[in-house]
Amino acid sequence: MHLHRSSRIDFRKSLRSILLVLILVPALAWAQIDHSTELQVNEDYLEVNITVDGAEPEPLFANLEDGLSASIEYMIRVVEPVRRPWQALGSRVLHEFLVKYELIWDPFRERFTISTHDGAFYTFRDEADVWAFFFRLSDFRIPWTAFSDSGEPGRIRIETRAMYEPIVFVSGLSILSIFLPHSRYQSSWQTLERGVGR
Amino acid sequence: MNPRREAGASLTGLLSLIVLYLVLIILVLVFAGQVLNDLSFTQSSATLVILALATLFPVLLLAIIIFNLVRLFRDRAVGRPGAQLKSRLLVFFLVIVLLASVPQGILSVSFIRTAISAWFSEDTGRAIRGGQEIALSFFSELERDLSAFSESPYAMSLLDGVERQPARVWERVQGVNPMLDSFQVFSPDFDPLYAGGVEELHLSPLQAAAAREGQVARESIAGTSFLRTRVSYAPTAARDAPGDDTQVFTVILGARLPAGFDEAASRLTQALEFFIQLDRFQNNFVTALGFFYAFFSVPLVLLSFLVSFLLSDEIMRPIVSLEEATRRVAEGDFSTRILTRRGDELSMLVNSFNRMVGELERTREKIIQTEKIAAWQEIAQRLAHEVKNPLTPIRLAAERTLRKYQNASDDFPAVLETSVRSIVNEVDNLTALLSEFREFSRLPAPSMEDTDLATIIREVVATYAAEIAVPVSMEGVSDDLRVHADPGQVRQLVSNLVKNALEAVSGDGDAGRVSIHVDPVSRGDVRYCRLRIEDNGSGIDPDQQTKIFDPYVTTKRKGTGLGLAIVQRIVFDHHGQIWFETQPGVGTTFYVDLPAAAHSSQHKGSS
Repeated sequence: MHLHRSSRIDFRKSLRSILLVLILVPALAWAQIDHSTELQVNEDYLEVNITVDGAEPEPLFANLEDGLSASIEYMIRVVEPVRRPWQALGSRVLHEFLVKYELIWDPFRERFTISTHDGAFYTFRDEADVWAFFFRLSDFRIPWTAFSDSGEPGRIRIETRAMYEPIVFVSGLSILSIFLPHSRYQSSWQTLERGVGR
Repeated sequence: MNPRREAGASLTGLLSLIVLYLVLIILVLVFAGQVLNDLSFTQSSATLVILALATLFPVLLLAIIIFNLVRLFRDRAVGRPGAQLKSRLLVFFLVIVLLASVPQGILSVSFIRTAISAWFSEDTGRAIRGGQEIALSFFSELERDLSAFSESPYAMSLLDGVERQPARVWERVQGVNPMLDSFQVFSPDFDPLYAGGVEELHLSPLQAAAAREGQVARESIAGTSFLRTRVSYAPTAARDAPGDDTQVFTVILGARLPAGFDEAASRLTQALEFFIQLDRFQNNFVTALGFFYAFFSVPLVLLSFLVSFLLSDEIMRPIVSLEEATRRVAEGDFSTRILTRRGDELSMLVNSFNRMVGELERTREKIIQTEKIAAWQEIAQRLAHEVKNPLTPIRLAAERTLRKYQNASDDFPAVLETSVRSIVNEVDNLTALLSEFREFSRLPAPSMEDTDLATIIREVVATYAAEIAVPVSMEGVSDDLRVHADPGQVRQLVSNLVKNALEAVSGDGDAGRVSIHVDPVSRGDVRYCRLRIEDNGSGIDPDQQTKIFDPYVTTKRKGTGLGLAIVQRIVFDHHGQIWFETQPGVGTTFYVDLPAAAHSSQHKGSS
């Protein structure tokens, strides 16, 4: 897991929406995807489960069979809303976590393999198994100590988002993602309040 | 002295743009590669900020260019000096920029397209796929062979006696199947009995116990992959008791893939992925490259065009300064000078101009001085002539009176009276002549103020209307025209001209007409009020026309000849102009331009 420890004002959400208008029109055409998040309160940690819905299996497996790879990125943020009058600027990000899966078909093993950015490696024989694993982040644990940076833990929110790429462009062709709107699906930020803080 | 600085005011701006241009080129060189390799919107908002700046920069340049173009068109519309030449220079610069950049852009995109097509042809794709298929085929065959060998009855026969002489059995097996690289024998309790061949392929007892019968999971160590198979062997004596695991030995057979096979296979997979992506999205990729080429090159082109604006300014500035200075000199301002810090041919031209104007100024001063002397000589001669004229009758009258007195002539009283009257008359004329001359020579410097010209004209006309019964038309005199002048001198000017006009038509009976007009006009940036006094008298003889403003030149019997000279002097002191149009037998029109007051009404025309 990648733990990015920071404490800063999150201008990005509001800034990006402004900048995107100014930048390239094709970039505005990114496709949308849905995701749902469940939180489970445990003794030592907060369990986060994210499920992505709406992806189409046929083109994904066809691309994998052709030798292409796909990826999905789960972003989890622990944020504290900024008080008035600075509320419009966004939220203060206490912690940001990023989990990335990269999926390929290994013709030598004749299995689907999922590698994570931290070096973990999973193999699957069945499409159903790899689909269930790939589009669900299960049992992601945030220790309660991550919430101690805030003076008021009751105000803390959890924000989640997923970004799915049916085709991961190789180095040198990555600029294609700007011009191919269906090469990237991104879900909206989902904010959760319940169950946070003890 | 009125020095005008022809300095490179925009030189700093020009240098700044050139520095910006170089920085932009460096950024292009640095980021062009990065764009191809790393640009992806999964990255942080820093990428978005860079892209936003990269978009805003050409937009800003475009805005500056549009602003300059609008200003240039406006300058052309109002006829500002140098605007047309600057437009032509800009067109030349633009043509040069386009001549260089357009073919280069087309060539670059075409080259990229051709290169992609040539390097990533179908043959290349088939070769990569073929390579991967060969690797897969080799791998599968090795796997299959190992499985087939381990499951064959022949292998079982070869293993006979492995529990007693495993080393001999390994030699026998290796002799039959040279592809095998390792051989391990475990007791029924998974105690290692023998391990031969490549050490890296050996399993621990725990791994051997956990492994299923047949193919063992593939393992890679230090870039080399191993294939292993587990075989359960029961000695001949124990085969009669099936299910008795206490007599079953475990044999692990291992084979090593060629060194570098995994890495080569991985590279083949990556190459195939790259080729598939490029093959599938070739058109999009070329479009993307074209877009980014434009993304980087358009700001450079815009910057070049902006530089051309400043360059044309640099070229035009001394020329415009020269044009303006020449115009000032033509208008009589010989104090104009141009300052320059340049060291080129234009600087030499400016210096030559300054020397020429200096020479002209000195020559003009000499001419004026000479003319002054000549004018006073002329005036002195004419004044002497005018003074001498009455002296003769005075002398004759005095001599006649003396003669009559000496002769004791009877008519002495009568002659005395006549002569004295004549002498007094001539002395009065002389007094009047000298008074007017004093007025002419001592005309004070004008005291300028906003002056209502129409009121002065009406008052002067009213004065003369009582003496001379000639109709004077003042329909062309509007009330809202004011001049910046000395009211007293303007009154004298109008009085002299109106008096001349009235006297010119006074002998024509009822046919005589005088009309007065005042029109607003402008010459260059200066606005004037033009006074026009027109009569239908006998006109001015051609031989008199060149001398009409000279002192003591008159066409009237009782005139002093100083009226128009005074008028000309007043006009000159007010920085105005005076001229006339005349035709003998038709009439005369005098024109006088006097500077308009700052708050006078808008001018209707120009001349």
